Order: sequence, then structure tokens, then C-alpha cells
Amino acid sequence: MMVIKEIASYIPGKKESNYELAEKFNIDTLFIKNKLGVEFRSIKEKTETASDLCVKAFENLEGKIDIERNKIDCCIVITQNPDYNIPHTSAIVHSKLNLPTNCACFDISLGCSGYVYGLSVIISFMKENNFKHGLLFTADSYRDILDKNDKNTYLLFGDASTVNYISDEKDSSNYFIPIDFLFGTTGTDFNSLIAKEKLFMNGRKVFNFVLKEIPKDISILLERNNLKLENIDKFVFHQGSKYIIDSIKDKLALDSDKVVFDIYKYGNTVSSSIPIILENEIKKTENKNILISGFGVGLSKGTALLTRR
Amino acid sequence: MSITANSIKVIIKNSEIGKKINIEDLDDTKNLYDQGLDSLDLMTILLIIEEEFNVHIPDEDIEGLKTLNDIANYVNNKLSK
Repeated sequence: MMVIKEIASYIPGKKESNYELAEKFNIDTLFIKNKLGVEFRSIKEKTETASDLCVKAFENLEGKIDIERNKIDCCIVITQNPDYNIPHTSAIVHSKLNLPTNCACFDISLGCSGYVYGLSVIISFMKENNFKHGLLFTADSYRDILDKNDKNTYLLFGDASTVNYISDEKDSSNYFIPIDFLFGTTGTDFNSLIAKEKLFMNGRKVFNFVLKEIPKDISILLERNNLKLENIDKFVFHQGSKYIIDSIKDKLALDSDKVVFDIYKYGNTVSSSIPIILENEIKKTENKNILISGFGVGLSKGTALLTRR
Repeated sequence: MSITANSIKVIIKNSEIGKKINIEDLDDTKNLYDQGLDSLDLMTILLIIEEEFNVHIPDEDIEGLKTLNDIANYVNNKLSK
């Protein structure tokens, strides 16, 4: 059975404060804390690339669990800010980690829904090819594409990376396993979150997309798995901003204790936001069913149910 | 079907915004931004109205929606067409 065996993340220690930008953007401390939910943004070094961020997450993974690099069958990187247009970043990660030549590598170009898609892709790919050990990376730094004068985006995004170690285990008890996925796209609004040179976001379009689509998808996913909202121990949404998480929570009348939000010290880390939260949540014994949902660039959405048997 | 400033106040009261705003204090003719609401709150109110009244409010029209009466008049105008 394919399980999420371990998750590790890397959040750069260098931070920038949003409080120092409050006057420039005409916002107050309550807006920063209660609406954005981002007090500080994590900042990568200028020279650090997506592959560098992946390597740092992998080093943290090796600090948590023994990994036999020569047994890694596949390496997938989710990013829209790759090291180069050509080649794929996963090949560079492959080189930096000295992975074996029979290791399959490819990238997935998705934003905030990327982790949910990636989880489905790596598990299907591994099952289809009888793979035993796979690495799923997220590393999507927006640092170089942010406009310093854009209030809608500059205050939100932070840098980070994660790696999921997916493994085929004979005894899958105590590990989380994805049991169902639901995906979708509203391509007509593709230009609501777009980087031609710098990142542009139509916040209202994204907000409306999320509030119209995600609660509906959660209901569909739960119903077809004979589950109810109260059966879910934790809801881990893409950590876009505090306001968007609070709005979903409000619309679904979810218990605050079940909805995790924790990006105050590092910001919205795009496809890394869900696995950063999951890294801690999968260790908590009280969590049996976790619902994850990613949404954004595309406009794309992906929701999944994870369960511990 | 029509909407009034009072029905928008009920929408506000029943939403997350109602926790920070006392709707009794809202003046139908004053700018919402001067009464403790912000652009994110307005986004939420407009989405609820779009869904409840099945109307589309394009981004370019939002600039003119400053008060509760502005919103009610705008939506009623759409509903009458």
C-alpha cells in the first residue's frame, strides 16, 4: 500500500516583516494579523533556486528518517518557478542528490493546487510501474516575480519547500493514505492569477472561485465516501490568507479547532503550504481523517481525503 | 424579488463580518469603508448577494458601490432587467 511515510520542509530563516510595510500600503496591524494572517514572510537567498530549496527539504527529511538514495524510483518536483525552462528541475535535483539512473524524474507545473495533484500523480505512477520509493517535492518561490508596490501580492507570499517520502509498505497501519481525490479547473479565469513579467492577482476572482467551488467539492467528496464533516479530524486548506480560510470555515460552519491556519511567520508558500501543515498533523495520533484542499493558479482546484487505517 | 439596505444588513449580521460590526450602527447612506468595513468584507457581501440573488456584479462596477443604498439600488436595477 502506498503511504505518506514522512514529510519534511524547509523554511528559510531570513524573514521580512509586514508591519514595516503597513504605512506604505495603508493597512493596520489588525488587517495584517486577522485578514492577511501573514506577519512575516520567509525569504530565500537571492542565488537559491528551486532545486536548492528541494535539496534543503531533502536534507531535513534525512534528518528524520533513513533514506536509501539508491532505492529511489521516482522524483517529482512541483514548481512554476523552475531553475531553467529547460531542463526540468527534477533532473537537477536528481543530480544534486545523486539519485540512481533508473530513477524517473519529471516536473508538474501547477501552483497552489499542485500538492494535491502531485500526491495523486506520484501514487498512480508508482502503482502503475511497481515502484517502491518516491519523492514528491514542492518548491515554488515567487520572490523574483513579485512587484514590490503591489499590495495584493507582495505582503502574502513567502519562500519554502517540502518533500514527501512516498513508500510502498506491507504494513500500512499508522500511515496516512489518500483514499479519494476530486479535481477541477475554471480555465476561463486563467488571467486572474498570472505572471507575464510580475505576478498579478485579481483577488476577488480568486476569492469567488474558492468560495463557490471548494465547499461544494468538499460536500461531494464526503458524500461519495459516506462521510460527514464531523468525521473529519482536520481540514488542511491551502494557506492562501487568513481571510480566505476563515471564509471557507464560516461557509461550511466548521469547528475552529479542526481548521489549521499557521502562516503568520512565513507567508503563503504556494504548493508547499499544505505539506508544511501536514508534516505536523500526520504525527498527531488523534487525527484519523484529514481533508486537504488546494486552490489557486489556473484557476485550479484539488481536494483529497487522507485516512489512517 | 428585490433587495433593501436592511436585507444587506441581515447578510452582514449572519456572516463573519457580523462579529465585528453592529449592524444597528450602519448608516445606509454612508461609505461602508468609513464604517469599519474593508475591501475584503465588501467582497464577501457581494459574493453572498451574487449567490442569493443570482446576479453577476462585474469588477468594473464595484467602484460605484460605496454605501448600502448603492448596493441595493444597483442589484434591484439588475433584477428588474
